[in-house]
Amino acid sequence: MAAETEIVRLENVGLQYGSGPEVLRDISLSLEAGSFHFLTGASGAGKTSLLRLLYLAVRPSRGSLHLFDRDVSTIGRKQKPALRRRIGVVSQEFGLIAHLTAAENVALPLRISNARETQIRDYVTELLRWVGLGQDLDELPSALSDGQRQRVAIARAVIGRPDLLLADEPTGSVDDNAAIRLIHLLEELNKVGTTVLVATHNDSLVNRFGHLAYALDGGELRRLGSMAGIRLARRPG
Amino acid sequence: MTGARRYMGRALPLGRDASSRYGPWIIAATVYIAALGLAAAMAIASAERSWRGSFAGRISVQVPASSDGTQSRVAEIVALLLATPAIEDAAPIDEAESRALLEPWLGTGPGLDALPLPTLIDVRLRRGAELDIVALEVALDAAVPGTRIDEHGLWLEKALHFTRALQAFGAALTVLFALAAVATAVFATRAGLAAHGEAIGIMRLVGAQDTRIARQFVAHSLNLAIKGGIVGCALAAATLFLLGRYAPGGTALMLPEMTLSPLQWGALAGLPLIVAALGMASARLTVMRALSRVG
Repeated sequence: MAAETEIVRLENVGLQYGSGPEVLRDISLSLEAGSFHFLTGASGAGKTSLLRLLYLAVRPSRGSLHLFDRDVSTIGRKQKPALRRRIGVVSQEFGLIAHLTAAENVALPLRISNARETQIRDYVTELLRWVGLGQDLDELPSALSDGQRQRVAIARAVIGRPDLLLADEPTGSVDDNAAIRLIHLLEELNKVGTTVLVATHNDSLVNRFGHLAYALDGGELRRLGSMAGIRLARRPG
Repeated sequence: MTGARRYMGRALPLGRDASSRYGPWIIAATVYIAALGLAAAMAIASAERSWRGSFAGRISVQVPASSDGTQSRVAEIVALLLATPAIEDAAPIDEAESRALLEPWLGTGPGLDALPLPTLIDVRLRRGAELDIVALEVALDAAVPGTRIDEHGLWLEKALHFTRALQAFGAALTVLFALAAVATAVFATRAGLAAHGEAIGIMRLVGAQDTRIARQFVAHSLNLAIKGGIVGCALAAATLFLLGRYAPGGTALMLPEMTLSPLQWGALAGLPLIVAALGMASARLTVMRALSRVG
């Protein structure tokens, strides 16, 4: 199979929930394999809706959505799980199962993929050490800080070595230092080939890391370019 | 795979839901009633077959008692009956046997002995032969005035109407309560879906197939149905055993005996399995439909 160069491609995508107004309008976007992008915009601009489209939680109302060189705009329910295993998702609310330990939460994608128990144990331990939680394998989410929970969520999102990592406000519940460490973690993943898209309203974070950025405003997407582009776009007048 | 299965059970801890505490008891109660309904329907069906076998192709003839020559009058009637082509055999019932039949109502003692009883003649009809009952009764009455034919068909028909109604009631009871048991499994599934919606969403997000999630609910439903079904069926078996042993039945009250054949016991034992199978299918359907609505 030829290597995919384009992980995500949206063409004139629109999204509306029920009979409500369009929350996303004429979105066209292309993410190359191995790229790192920020997605910015104020609260309610449609960042979460765009990510939901990408992890197949909703279908586009119009336009076409390609993931991994495959048109998934009208994909059937049975085909979704296999695609979702190639996508890691980190959300602001962490999305951890409350009664499972940190290690069990991280192991979830591997267990669903029927990986061997020894492999699961090794990977989970290694990954939780990598995110600095080597001592907290058996802790329940309720015993962890927000920053630690977010790192558990990242570990779970990447344990299946996804091709695409979508992070929705991953730094929303942590302080600036922790936020910077989280983005560094995502950059390390990106270095090994994972395409990363981080939605955030934290401009300073976007400015600090010079990755390409897109901005959503009123449901429409604009390409801002790198750090310099964002400064230019936000200049008054 | 056992470890993974156990783990998935922990991811969706349906066993800790409230339904796991009350579900088996509700299912036990419904299976108990369904099993009794089924047992009653089967016992009545057996009784019906037995009555049909006893009375089909038979009539009785009553020869009135008289102070003189009863034996010769009976012999004359028997001869007439045996001369009728549609009749295969005719035999008078022994007087002692007739009195024994009346004992439950009239008691024993000199009173019964003094009572003039008509002589009963048991008549077996030739298979497939047509018998003109009215003409025969006229002929018998002419020979011995007061002789009557007691045709069991009418009585049997009425009795069968009644037993069929009872059977239908028993069958309806079985179906209704088996469905109630299935409904319990469905409610438990719905409660589980509501209680674990977040965990289910996370499992789907990381790539779990809907069938995999549904399997957890199917296993839970099986667990509830097996626990409840076994308890309900065991209680029903104990009840039937006690009824068969101590309840009056059989010939005295014309009630069906509450005893079941091995095959019927097998059918009864199959009831929890049917409830479990229906519960599992319903649980799977409920989950798959609910998840299809989520997308």
